[in-house]
Amino acid sequence: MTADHDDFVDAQGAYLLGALPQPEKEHFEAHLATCARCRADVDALLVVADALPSAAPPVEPSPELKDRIMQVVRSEAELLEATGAQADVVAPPPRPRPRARPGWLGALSFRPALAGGMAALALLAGGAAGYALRGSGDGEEARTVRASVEQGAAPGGAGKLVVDDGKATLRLARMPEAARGRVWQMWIKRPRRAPEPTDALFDVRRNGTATVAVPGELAGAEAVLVTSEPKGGSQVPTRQPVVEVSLT
Amino acid sequence: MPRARSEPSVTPQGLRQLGDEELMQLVQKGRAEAFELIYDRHSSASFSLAYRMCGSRAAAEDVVQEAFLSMWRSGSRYDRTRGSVRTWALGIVHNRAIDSLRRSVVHDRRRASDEGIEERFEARERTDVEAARRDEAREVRTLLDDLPPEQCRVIELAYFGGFTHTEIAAMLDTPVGTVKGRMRLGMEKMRGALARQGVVTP
Repeated sequence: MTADHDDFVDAQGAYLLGALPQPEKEHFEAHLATCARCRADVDALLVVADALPSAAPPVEPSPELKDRIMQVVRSEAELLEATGAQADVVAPPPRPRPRARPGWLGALSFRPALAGGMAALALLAGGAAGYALRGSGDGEEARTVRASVEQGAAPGGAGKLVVDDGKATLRLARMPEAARGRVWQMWIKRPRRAPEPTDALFDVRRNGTATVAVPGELAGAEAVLVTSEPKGGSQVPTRQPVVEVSLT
Repeated sequence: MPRARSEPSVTPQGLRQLGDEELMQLVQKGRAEAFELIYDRHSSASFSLAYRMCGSRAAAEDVVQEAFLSMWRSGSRYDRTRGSVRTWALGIVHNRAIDSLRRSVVHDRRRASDEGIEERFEARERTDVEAARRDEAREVRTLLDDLPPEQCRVIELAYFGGFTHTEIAAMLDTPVGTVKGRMRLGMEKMRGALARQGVVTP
């Protein structure tokens, strides 16, 4: 035991209640990693923290909330099933578009990087970036755009954006977990504007894949980006993008 | 919706008989039906916590939606050795609610006060499980109320209000060290009371 330890004892309760501000929380966690006594104390008090949520008066969510959540879950499950193991396979070669479409997929061309702090983005290994249009089998037209994955941050990483019936979903494979205490966040980049934050915060599955619906409107967007952000997400990207899907 | 062809088919009835931990294994494989059951089992407790923290149905629904989609997308993070699915879910909801409260430009102090919850939709007791849960809620509520008021206050402001100890110290015009001490003492008292009720070993 050290003098250090005594300083941390009183923080145990605040830590479990989520009331330690940064950087005190980080200091406490670093201490916890080295102090068996604090770990034992915190373990003992954990039962209290676990019991606290049940002190909230019972209130029922609306059925619509379940509908909204399950709609996203089902569409992601279907995409996962449809593209499953082939998530990282390059999409079929392009064939002529059946009709011109105004908007963000109207004139696909690959752009090596966006202006504004993104010059450091290394492009997908092999330069396979491109796009493809294909039928999804049920008569609906699905569009797929390959993502550029920064190979330094995500070796072997690959991904694509699938747009089907106006809904876009980003599928990633061989993605690492965001660093400890961080989460992946999706952004929508529009011309001459800072990337807009989305509420698509996600972790990768154990097998390194992720399937994430793109929230919000993609019309007029020039790119979909993914960055590593502190848990809870950010309003402005704090890191360079690891994934970029260029839409213009 | 189409069923994952690579998975052995489990009937809806069969799924319902699975425990949360088994369901989570199916969730990790992308099975939406398994996730739906996880939602059904834990959404009420999750929403109650989010509502208590956020004080409005709209904000609470956003928090619960964010939390459950994050659980769906990161099911692999669930580690059964570290607690039940319920504890895991409520922990995620709590974190998301704190993030949401701290993101809001004005961290409204009234929000955390007890009279701040005007519209309260009491859950109906549909099952024995729900009735038992209400009893549990009353017990934990009683434990909190039995604490010395200054300890109860700091625990509520921190856990349900999402305030940091520094904010609470400023709010109550009390030194930070005192606030931290009250939190720990209060939690130790609650732990003792839970132990006497047989919830934990003393």
